[in-house]
Amino acid sequence: MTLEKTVALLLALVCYLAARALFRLSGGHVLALPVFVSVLLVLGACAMLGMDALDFVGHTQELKFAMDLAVVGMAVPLHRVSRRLGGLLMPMLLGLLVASALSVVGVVLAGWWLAAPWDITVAIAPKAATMPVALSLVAGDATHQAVAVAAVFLTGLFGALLTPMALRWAGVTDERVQAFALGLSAHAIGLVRAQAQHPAHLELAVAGMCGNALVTALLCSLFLG
Amino acid sequence: MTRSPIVFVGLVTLAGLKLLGDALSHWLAVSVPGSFWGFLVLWLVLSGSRRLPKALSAAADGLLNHLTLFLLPSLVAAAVGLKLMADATMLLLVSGLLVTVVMAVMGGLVMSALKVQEGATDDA
Repeated sequence: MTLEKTVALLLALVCYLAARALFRLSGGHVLALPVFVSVLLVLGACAMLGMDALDFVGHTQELKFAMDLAVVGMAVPLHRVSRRLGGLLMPMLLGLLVASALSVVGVVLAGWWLAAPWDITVAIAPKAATMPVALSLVAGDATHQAVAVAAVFLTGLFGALLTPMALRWAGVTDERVQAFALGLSAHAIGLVRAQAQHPAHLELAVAGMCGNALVTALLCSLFLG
Repeated sequence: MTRSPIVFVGLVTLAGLKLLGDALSHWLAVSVPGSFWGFLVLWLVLSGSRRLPKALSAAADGLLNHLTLFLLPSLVAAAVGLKLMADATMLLLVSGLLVTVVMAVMGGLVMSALKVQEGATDDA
């Protein structure tokens, strides 16, 4: 392992741990979510150390492999929750199908309305799937990958910030539905918010995230591929 | 058995499933990532079994507790790449904001409505 790689991985670890500590110190404030703060800390540290942020990305690719293992591991909480769902299973599946279809169709309609290039629309369409799933669904060049990452990130950000408020406004107060919708709309970033707000129902958020990733991947592969 | 070897066994199993998923993805020639096929295979296997192996449970819980760390390279790449995407800015904002809120609310409403109906049916 080269020195640069070691420094980059250490930097990622330190920024991540610092972001978690700040989140605890803030009392779980949504603007202090580790997923945002850690990015800001990394960008700030890269600027201070004179390291190109893209070099940081290149040196920390091992973390993506760990993310792939985490995606496989999502089957475990999904298995735990599916044993306990009972009467909630069918409402959850139908809610998932409606939301996933709306997400993909909504992007296609918005792209048509804004006269966006088709390749950009297709790169944004899997925005509500988890990062590794979305990235695998778009073309391999840097621009499309960056568009997909930005779409997934913004979806996670807005979903985590606005979903609880929008659901309350719509009269949905059941914590189980809120946790599920957070995973559904804001993938891993939604899980962080669900962990802070509804820790007892985190597995439902994981179920929402995994289910949406599956349905979105199938919809995009079948209709936009 | 102490916790560390259990976690190691779980991680090796997850890595094996990921590689199996890569092979399936290649064999089926569909653009669904190998990690997702691995996830599906594991879920199907667990659904058919009576108990959840401790090794898998410990490894998966450990990984899922640190998703933010694993997402850092992609998130930093996105933050850096935002300036390259003038063409996509409006669509990114509309999709990220409007479409996300609509999908979350509609999904939640459908689930809520059906849950109430099922509850009423159960009561009857």
